[in-house]
Amino acid sequence: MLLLSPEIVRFESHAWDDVAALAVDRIPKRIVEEHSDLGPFATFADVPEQSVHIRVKRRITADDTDAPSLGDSGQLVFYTGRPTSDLARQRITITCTLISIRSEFPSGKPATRTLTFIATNAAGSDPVSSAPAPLNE
Amino acid sequence: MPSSFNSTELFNSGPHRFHLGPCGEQLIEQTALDPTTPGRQAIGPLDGSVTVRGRLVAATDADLWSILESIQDQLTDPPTTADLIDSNAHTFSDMSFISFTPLAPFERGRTVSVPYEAIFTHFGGWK
Repeated sequence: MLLLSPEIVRFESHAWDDVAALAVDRIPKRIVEEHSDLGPFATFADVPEQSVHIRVKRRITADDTDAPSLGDSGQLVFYTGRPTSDLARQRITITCTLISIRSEFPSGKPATRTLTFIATNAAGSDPVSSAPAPLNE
Repeated sequence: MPSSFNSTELFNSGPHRFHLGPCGEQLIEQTALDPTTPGRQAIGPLDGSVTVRGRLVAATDADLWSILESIQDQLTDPPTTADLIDSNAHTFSDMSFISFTPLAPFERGRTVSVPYEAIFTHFGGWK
């Protein structure tokens, strides 16, 4: 999932309206690939261990001293679509932990700050959940 | 072709391979008989062995436990002795099912699966 310029992104007490891009990456931590006596090609594959990483890239145009701390855990909430126009707009909720904050200063462009999270789910199921978002939420 | 043991398809829920064990003579150290005698002595043919390694695959934990129980049913004392037929229709006659070992925890992705090793022996060698 990749969102460009989402309307607003919230993480616990923080609300960011300057997000340039938000990416949800699914990374295999363990891949199972099995072969049989029937031929040279794999007959079974699965991914029993996976990670979901979320990167939130903000455009920084003013002093910013209110960043969450590494290890902070909570709900990251954002939306697909625009609040007033898209009936298929979804609210995405991900329980996650902040694992890095990196700032960059590209020449001739606004500074950016990228926050990276790891998603978790105590039940071991997909930590990314979506639900229809009410209009104007 | 599905593999089978004792006319039962034990391993066909997932991929598996048949590994042949060594054949030839079994040796013992002479010192086991006489501490002052060096070298080894041939005492007879090695037991034949076939090891099946693979992965049991099921849709749910309960289904996987059901497959495991059907395998455990074939592990008896004394061992069940029957034909073991591989995935290419080769028959190993008079094989005794000795052990079944899960090699990892249950792994849960799209499926529930577990890798394993099953050991079969032909007592007295292949001939």
